[in-house]
Amino acid sequence: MSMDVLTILQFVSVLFWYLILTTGIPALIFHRKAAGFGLSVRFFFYFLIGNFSLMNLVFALQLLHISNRVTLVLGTCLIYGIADWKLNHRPWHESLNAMWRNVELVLSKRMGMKTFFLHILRFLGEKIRCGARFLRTMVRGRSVEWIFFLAVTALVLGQYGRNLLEHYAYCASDIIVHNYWINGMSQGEIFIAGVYPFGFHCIIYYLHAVTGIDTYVLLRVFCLVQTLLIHYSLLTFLKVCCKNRYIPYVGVAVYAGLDVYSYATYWRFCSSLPQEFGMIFILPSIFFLFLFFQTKKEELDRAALLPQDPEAAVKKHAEKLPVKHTGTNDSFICLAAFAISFSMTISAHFYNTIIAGIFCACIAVGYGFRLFRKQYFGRVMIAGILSVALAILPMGIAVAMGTPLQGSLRWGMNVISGSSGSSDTEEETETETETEEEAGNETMTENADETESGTEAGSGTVVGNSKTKSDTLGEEDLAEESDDADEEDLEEESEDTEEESDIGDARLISMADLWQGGIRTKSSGVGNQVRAALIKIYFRINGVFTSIRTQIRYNVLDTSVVDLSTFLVRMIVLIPLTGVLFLTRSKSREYGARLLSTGLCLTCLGALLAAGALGLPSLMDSSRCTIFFAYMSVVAVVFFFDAVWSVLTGWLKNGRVRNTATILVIVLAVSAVIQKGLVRKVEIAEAYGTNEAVTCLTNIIRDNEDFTWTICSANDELRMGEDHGYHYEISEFLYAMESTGEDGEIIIPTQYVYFFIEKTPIDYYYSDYLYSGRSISEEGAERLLPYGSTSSIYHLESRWIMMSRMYYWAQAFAELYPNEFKVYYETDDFVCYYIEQNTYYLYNFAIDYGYNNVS
Amino acid sequence: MISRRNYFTIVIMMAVICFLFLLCGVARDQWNDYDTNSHVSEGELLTQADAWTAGKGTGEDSEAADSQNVGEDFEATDSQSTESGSTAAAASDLAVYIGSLREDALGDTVREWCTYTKREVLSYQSLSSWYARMEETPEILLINSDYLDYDTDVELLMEIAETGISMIFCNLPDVSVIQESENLQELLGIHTIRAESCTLDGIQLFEGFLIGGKAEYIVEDEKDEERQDLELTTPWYQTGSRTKVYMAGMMEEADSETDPYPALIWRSSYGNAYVFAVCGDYLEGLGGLGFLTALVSEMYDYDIYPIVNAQNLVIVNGPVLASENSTEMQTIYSRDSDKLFRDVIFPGLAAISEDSGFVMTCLLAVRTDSSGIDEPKTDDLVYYLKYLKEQSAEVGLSLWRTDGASLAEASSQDAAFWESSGSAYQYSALYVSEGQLTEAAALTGEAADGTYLETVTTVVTADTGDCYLLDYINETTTVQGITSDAYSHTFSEDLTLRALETALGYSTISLDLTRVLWPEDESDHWENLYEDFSSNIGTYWKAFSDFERTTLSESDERVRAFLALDYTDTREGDTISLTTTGLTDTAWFLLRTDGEEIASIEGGSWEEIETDLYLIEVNEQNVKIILEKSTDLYYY
Repeated sequence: MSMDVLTILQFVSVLFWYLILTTGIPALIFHRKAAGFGLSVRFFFYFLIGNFSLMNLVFALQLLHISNRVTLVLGTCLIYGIADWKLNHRPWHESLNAMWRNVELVLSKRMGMKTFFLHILRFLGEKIRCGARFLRTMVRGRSVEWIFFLAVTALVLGQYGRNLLEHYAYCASDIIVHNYWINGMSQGEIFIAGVYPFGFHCIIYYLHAVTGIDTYVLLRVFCLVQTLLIHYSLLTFLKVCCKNRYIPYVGVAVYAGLDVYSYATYWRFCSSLPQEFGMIFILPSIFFLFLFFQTKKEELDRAALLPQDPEAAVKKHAEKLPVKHTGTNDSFICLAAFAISFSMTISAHFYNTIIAGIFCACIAVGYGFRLFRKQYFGRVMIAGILSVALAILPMGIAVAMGTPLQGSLRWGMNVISGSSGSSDTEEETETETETEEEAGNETMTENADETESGTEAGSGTVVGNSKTKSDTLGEEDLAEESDDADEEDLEEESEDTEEESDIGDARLISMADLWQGGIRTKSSGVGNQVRAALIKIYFRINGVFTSIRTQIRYNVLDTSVVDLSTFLVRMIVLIPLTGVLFLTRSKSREYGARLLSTGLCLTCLGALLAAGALGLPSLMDSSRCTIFFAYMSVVAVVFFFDAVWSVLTGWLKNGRVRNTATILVIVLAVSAVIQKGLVRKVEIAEAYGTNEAVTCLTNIIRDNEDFTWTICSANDELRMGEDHGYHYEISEFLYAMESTGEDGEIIIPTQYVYFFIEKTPIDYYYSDYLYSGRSISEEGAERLLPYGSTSSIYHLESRWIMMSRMYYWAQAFAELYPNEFKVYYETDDFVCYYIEQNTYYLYNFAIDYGYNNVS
Repeated sequence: MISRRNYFTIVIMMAVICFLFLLCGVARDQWNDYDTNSHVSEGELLTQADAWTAGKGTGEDSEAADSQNVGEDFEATDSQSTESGSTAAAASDLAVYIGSLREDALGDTVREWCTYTKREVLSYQSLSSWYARMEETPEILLINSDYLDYDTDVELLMEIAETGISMIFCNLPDVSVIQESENLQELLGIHTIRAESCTLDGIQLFEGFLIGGKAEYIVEDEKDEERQDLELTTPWYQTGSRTKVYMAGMMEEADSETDPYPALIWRSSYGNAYVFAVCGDYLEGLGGLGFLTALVSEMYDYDIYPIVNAQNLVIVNGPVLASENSTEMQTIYSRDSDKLFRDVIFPGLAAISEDSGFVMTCLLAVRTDSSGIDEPKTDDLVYYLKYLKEQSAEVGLSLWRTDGASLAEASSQDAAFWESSGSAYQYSALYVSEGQLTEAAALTGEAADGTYLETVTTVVTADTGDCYLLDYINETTTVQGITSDAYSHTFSEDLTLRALETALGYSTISLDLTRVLWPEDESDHWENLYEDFSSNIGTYWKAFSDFERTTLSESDERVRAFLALDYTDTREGDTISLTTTGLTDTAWFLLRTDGEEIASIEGGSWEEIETDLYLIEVNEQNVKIILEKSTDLYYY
């Protein structure tokens, strides 16, 4: 079986299990409770409940140190069993009794096996028919939407799925750290490297423990699952908030498939990372807050109307979007859903909370006319506090039990508090070191989640642009480019960016001075002073927007085909204004409030993006901010167009005609996009390991019993195979025979030992080594063996030296053991050797291989 | 009361049933071709003249080759050997032995092994004399350490190893000699001498060396105490890097990871060659054949060599036609010996044969007591011939006597019975006891036409004397050595069995019923002996079930074919080309690979008997074996 097919099967199984556990089972339990909501709301509702229960179940069991497959399954059954009993009052005992009666009949031979199986088949048939009916009702009358849905799904899978097939290894340096933390959970030690938001880890751990899928497989393929859900979350949010049926699909398609956003805004989707996982929960939390204001208002209205005219109340609220009927506690459900969703943004990653928090603050403005009433304010505040408390509780317990904060968390808090200032990178470096020490792994790249952001923090604008440039170049061109050339290009672009920004600022300042000078010379009255002040404010605002536009242009957008920075800046202004316009009409006040909130959120994110330039405290580094800005810009722009389109087509009373017109416009737009070549090419992220290594690891796990093998390699496979076998660092391996030769002792006490050697060492981590294509050679082997206690010994030239040494060691060892030391797998760039050992009499791998400095 | 109609119906039914049952018995009796030996092939047998001898394969007259044969004086050694060394033997077929092929037990093993593996062997009394006159590079240098001069030879050995000639130290010099010579330690790959002498708790044989998998010879219960007969006192050599250990001692105080066990047989890579070391006398005797084969196999990425592929179970002195030792038999078993054989022993043997898959060769004795009063009965002979025919067993002869009478005397005493019996059965196997092989050679060679011994083609004995385990004792008669006693299976016997299966795929188990007939103590009672041999045969031969179970006649044919066979093999890419000479019908080879599997064979068939070990049946002179990598990844 090819690794591609295996990867696809793994993805399908992970998607299946994740959706079953987080959506399928809650749907079975809560479908009656949520029956009044539309499909999209129900999806959000089930999904949030599913994730929330699994996350907190894992937290609880892990903190009690009783987490394993049995307790997790029992815990899940208990949670859903109680929920089912409380909500549905399902007579489980009767069902069980009926089942037992049947079994009893079979055992006492009063019922034949054929009849018994016939009963089972009938039962299953009934359920399948029921499911088919449900599907039919879902599809009926919405076939176009389903086609759009499938198209969007295919687009997302096409854009981000290709990477899974191109790179089997992790595509972010810090996934290995998350792998380590999750492995710690498997060993019953949560927060193994310190307290950190573990929501993502809990879900991965749960999937691993319950389904038996290896953690490294989950981390390889879960990125596509979560990316799909990020897009589904966006789509669902837009679906329930927009007036038009089809515009949301266009929005998601633009986000996923149009070549307008820079690579920096979506490259992280190729990796299973907590921040991206947390993104799934931002929009549901916002949506449920929107919905709370709506349903609460309806409840209050109904309460006011019901005693006088119940029919009028029912009629008035019958067509409210998206709630089909209103129950007495719908607002409570919405607020609860908001709370758990918001808490999960914290549990997954604080950055998501920042974005969700900003959005909530904007909602406070947008819904200001309602929020500060007593029926709303207290509830919202309590929900917010509870959500934070819920998320913080497990971490608080861990801290109270003496577990220190994880290094990167401290760094993140420093960023938020502003104490780190511009020295993010330094802090990051410290964090990295701390993390490595805590992990007890001297050489592993145990930089925390912010590792790559640390690099980006220093050259945040550069990363995005560098990739944009590399997009336009062919692979061969890229390979030919030297490190120096890369550096120069990057520097030039960086300078260009700064220059343009400086020129813009300088121009504004000089114009302001000119104006002021002119005014001063012409008159000096009070009116003129006011005028001058206004002009100054105007220029100040203009300066702000110029800064934001610059950031958007260089960090958020890919301007190689089309420059939408001005358009987006205008949107920042236009959307809130449109929201205000809608707010003025009582019929569309709800819609206007949402539009205003979203527009303001985009404005705030723009400010956050340009915080440095504006002199504001930087809550998160700009490279991360771009991701959220791009995501939210889709929401805002789709809202805007939905509003405009609703105004334009408002005179069309026939819904079918309106929809047809929308579809026609969409088809035309898609044609134009394709014709203009605006479709985004599939991007392949950089991998932090070789495909061959993952292929070998997968085969080794399959071929051998657990813990009968050891992989000797650079630290990449250390955590990946931790549940199945052992790992030996090549640095330790080489050091042990460096000066002693065959007098040294290297004993690896497992039956099989595998050696992963990169003939062309991977360009690990540093872009200046990118595509160097340097192969192992005698020259490399002759160099002094690099020493160090951090992962730096596997970077750049050090990796080349290490791999060269290992290769020549392998050649020498193969001469001594030609029949025993065999090639397991070999390509032009990689070779894996293996040897089967007699565990009663182990080989001594220390030899004099000609390059170790044997005295 | 039943009606007449019913009565007749019942009677007819009973008659029919009775007839049907009787018919089976009658048919079995009538159609039992008991007076012919179906295990003997009709074709003409190969003779000593057809057997392979060194130099014959190359078509050149090699004195060294001749000198290997029994009866030749090889002690002219050096000069003679050197001359023979110039006979341009193919390097891959040439072994050089530093020692005496005649005077020491190791020499015997080396000589026999070279014959079976179709190698020429040159023997020298000293290393320097061979090296000075070396014209052809040998495939392997076999060293008896007693013949080395450690002042000069160690450096020479290192020089030889640098040139790529691998060597086997068939035994090691005294530990003090090794202690004094750092060069020798380096050559042998000894990292540390932990102790000049230590007492082992047991010995473990590692997997992949001898056929039968890994084995641990350690006393764990009372039965093991009886089985333990290995030498457990040995120097404690700890091997270093460049080495691979095949057999090691076991010590409770040592830990395999931090404190390696004493190595007993190992390989060291030195220069461009392998240096094998055997600490102990494991290469002496029959076991040495297998150890040498296994060690040489370790030198190559594949190895193919001929084997006999025969597993025999021989019932010695069973049945005995005359009723003997009646008083004791009556006391112990409440019946005479003829009844004991017929009613107790043979049904038990048939059951064992059925369970284990072994085919019995029953070496029938007319009598074992020359002075016995009771005369053998022809009816008993016919009964056994029929019974054993039904069991697919073969019947041979035994001339063993309790009083140690010579074969000639015993033969003449039995002649009258055979004449009167008129048996036309072809008794092709004859059992002789220790020291009677020469007499047997004369007796079978001179057997006059028409006598009952004229059909004997193979002699089976526990002591092959000057002959090899498998050899000709005269122009037409072969000898097949007994390799195991069915009642006993000590640790050393197990090791020898594994070694013999590795070298030859051959074993002959002797189940001597004389002990039952003439018991000395209670342990010789049938029920005790039965327990012993049934557990031994059912347990220790399981690992070799892929080798064919044969009778002595069938085995005889295979031995002749094996002795006549010569072969060459070459490899190009994934294809091994095997060319045989002297192939009559079928021959068997063992192929060892390193992680490769057989994809296909032209001119034969194969069966995997262990990981990377294949039994090849060759039917044509030229055979092509296509190999493929067995480590293709499942996920690619």
